Amino acid sequence: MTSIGLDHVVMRYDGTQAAVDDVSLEIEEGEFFVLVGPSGCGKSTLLRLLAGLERPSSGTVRMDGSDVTELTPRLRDVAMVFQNYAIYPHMTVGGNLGYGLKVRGVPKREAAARVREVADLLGLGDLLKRRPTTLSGGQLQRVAMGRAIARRPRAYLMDEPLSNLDAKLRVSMRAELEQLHRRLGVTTVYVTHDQVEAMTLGSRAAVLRAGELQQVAAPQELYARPANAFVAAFIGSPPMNFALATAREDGLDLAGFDLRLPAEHRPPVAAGERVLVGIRPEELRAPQAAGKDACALRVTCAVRQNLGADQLLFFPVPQLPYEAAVIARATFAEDRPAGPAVGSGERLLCARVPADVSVEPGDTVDLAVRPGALHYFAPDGGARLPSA
Amino acid sequence: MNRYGRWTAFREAGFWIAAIPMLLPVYLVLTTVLRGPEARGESALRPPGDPTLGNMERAWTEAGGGTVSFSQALVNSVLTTAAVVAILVVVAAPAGYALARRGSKLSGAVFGMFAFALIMPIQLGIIPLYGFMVDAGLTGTRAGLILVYAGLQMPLAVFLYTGFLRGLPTAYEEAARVDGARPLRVFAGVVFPLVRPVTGVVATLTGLFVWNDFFVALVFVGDTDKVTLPVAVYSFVGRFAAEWPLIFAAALIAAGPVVVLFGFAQRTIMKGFTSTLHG
Ligand SMILES: Nc1ncnc2c1ncn2[C@@H]1O[C@H](COP(=O)(O)OP(=O)(O)OP(=O)(O)O)[C@@H](O)[C@H]1O
Ligand SMILES: [Mg+2]
Repeated sequence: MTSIGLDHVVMRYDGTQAAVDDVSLEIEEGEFFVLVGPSGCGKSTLLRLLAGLERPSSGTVRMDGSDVTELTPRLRDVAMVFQNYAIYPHMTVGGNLGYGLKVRGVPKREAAARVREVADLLGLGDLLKRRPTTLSGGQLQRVAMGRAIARRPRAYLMDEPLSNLDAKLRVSMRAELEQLHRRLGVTTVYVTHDQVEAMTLGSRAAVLRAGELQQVAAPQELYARPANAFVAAFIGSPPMNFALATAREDGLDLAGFDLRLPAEHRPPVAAGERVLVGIRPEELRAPQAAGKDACALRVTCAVRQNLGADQLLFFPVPQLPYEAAVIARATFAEDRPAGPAVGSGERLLCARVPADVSVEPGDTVDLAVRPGALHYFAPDGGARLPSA
Repeated sequence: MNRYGRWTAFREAGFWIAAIPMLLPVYLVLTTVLRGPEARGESALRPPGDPTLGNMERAWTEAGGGTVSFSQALVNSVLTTAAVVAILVVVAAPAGYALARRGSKLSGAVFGMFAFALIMPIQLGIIPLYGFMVDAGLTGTRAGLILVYAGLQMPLAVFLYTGFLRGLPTAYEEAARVDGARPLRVFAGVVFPLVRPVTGVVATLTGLFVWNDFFVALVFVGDTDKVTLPVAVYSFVGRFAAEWPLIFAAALIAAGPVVVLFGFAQRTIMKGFTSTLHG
C-alpha cells in the first residue's frame, strides 16, 4: 500500500506549451484514483511521470512520503497498463505475465506459481502457451492487466486500459476491475477520457484540462458541484445546458424565460448583471416531477431522441452570436469533442425526460426546473459562483 | 479461388521464360562439371551422357595454383564470414538502437556519417587503408581481414538497424523498464528479439558480400593460407587455363553452402526483407 504525491509538477516536452502544468495532488493508500480529461490534456504524461518514464521539468513526485523524482521505473516498483497494452510480441502469454518477476530475480518456482495464480484469476489459464498475435482484444487486455498484477507492485498505473474494447466488454471489464481493486487493495491511478468511467470507477477523480488540474473530488461531487464551467460541461452525459442569463431582483431572465427564485437560490450578482447558468438535462423535468417551487418553462420540441427508458428532447432558445462565444470560451468548448450544437441565432438545449411522456417534434412541451438545480458560473473564466 | 486455370498457367509460363537467362548459365555449369574428360569435345548444351563427379573431387582435393587446398579455403570462408556477421550484429544492433532512440544533434551527425559511408565505394579508400593495415601488422591475418570486412559493412548494418528501430514503438521498451528491467536487459530481452527481421537481413546481405568478395580478400590476404573461396577459385584459373570443368566445379562447391542455407532460411529471410523495407 502506497500513497502518491505530486508537488507543483511541470512537464514541458520541448520547451513549448506545458503538457502538465503545476499539478499538485495527493493520492491516498489503496485509493482508486481516476485522472480524466479530454484528449491531449496531459493524462498519459502525468501517468508517465508517476511511472518514472519521464522526468518532470520541475516539481517533485513522492511515494509514501519520500521523494522519488529521480528514481528509475525499476526502483519505483509500480506497474503500468499501457493504452495499447504493449504485450511483448516475441513471448508467450506466460512469458509476458512472468517477465517482471524474472527480471526482478524472483525464483523460477515461485514466479511460475504466481503466473499460474494470476492466470486463473483472470481466466487466462488456457492461454499461457499462446502467442499474443493469436489473442483477441479482450484477451490482450487481460494479459496486460495480468502482467501488472503478477508483480504485486506498490501501485497500478492504468492508461485507458478499456478504450480498445467494445462497449459491452468495457462495461463488464469495468465491474471486474472494481472487484479486483477491492480484492487486492493496491493503490491505482486510472486514466480515462471517458467521463462515464470517471463517474463509475474510483473513489476520487481529478479533471484535467490543457495540463492544468481543474478539480479533484469524489465523482458525485464533480457532478453536483463542478468547480467551473469546464468541469460542468465535461462531466455528465448528455452534457449540461448553458445559457447566458441576466440577474433580476427576484430571479433570472434566462433566454426569454422568466424564472422567479427564492432568495437562497438567486445568482450572486447584482440585478442587471450577466451570469452563466448551467442546467443538467435530467433537471429539466415534467412539471409534476419537479416539485412545487419549480420554475416552469414552455418550450417547443425540435428534435427527439429515444434512449429506451428515457428520451432526450432538444428545444431551441434564442442566443446572440456573442453569447455563444462567451459560453464557448467559459466552457472551453474547443477542448471537448461534440460540444452542443450552436445554430444561427439560437441554441439547442436538451431535456432528459421519461420515455412515457409522449412528445413529437413540433409539439409544445411544459418543463420545469428546481431552483436548487441551477448552477452559476462567471461569464469570463467560468468559475463556479455559489448561490447567494 | 486457387484453381489452376488458364490465367495461372499463362503466368507460370511467363515466369519460366523470364527465368531462362538465370537458369541457362546454371545449366551450362552443371553439364560442364558433370562431363567426364573423355567427353570434352561435346557441345556444352547437351546433357552429359555419362555423368561423373570426378571434377568435383579433383577441385576439392587439389590445391590449385594457390597456397592452400580448396577445403582449407572453405574453412577460411566459413570462419571469416561467421565472424564478420557476428561482429556486425553485436556492434550494429546496439549502435542502431542508441542512434534511433537519442534525439541529440550528435547522434543525428553520426547517423549522417554512416549514411555517407554507405554510398562511398570501397576502392576509394583502399590504398590508405592498406597502408594502415601494413603499419598495424594486420595484413595477411584473418583478424585483419575480418576487421576490414566488418568496417566495410558496418554502415549498412547500422543503417538498417537504425531505420527499423526508428519505426518500432517505444512502448515495449517502456513496459520492460516499468517491469523492472535494467537498460542492458531491456536491449537483450526485448529490443534485440524484436529486431530479428533486421538481424536476418543484415546477416544475409553482409554474409553474402563477404562470402562472394574477391577484391578485399585478394588485397589483404592474397597469397597466404587465409584466402577465402573466391580467391582460391581464381587460383585454378592461373594453372588450369583451359580447365573450365575444374573451375566450374570449384565455383559450385563455393556456392553450395549459400544455397543450402538459403533453402533452410528462405522464409525467415524473405519476411525479414519485406518487414525491413516496410519498417
Ligand atoms: N513525446 C512527446 N513529445 C512532445 N510532445 C508530447 C509528447 N508526448 C505528448 N506530447 C504532448 O503533450 C500533450 C499531452 O499529451 P498526453 O499524451 O499526455 O495527452 P493525453 O491526455 O494522454 O491524451 P489522449 O487522451 O489522447 O491519450 C499533448 O499536447 C501532446 O501533443
Ligand atoms: Mg493518453
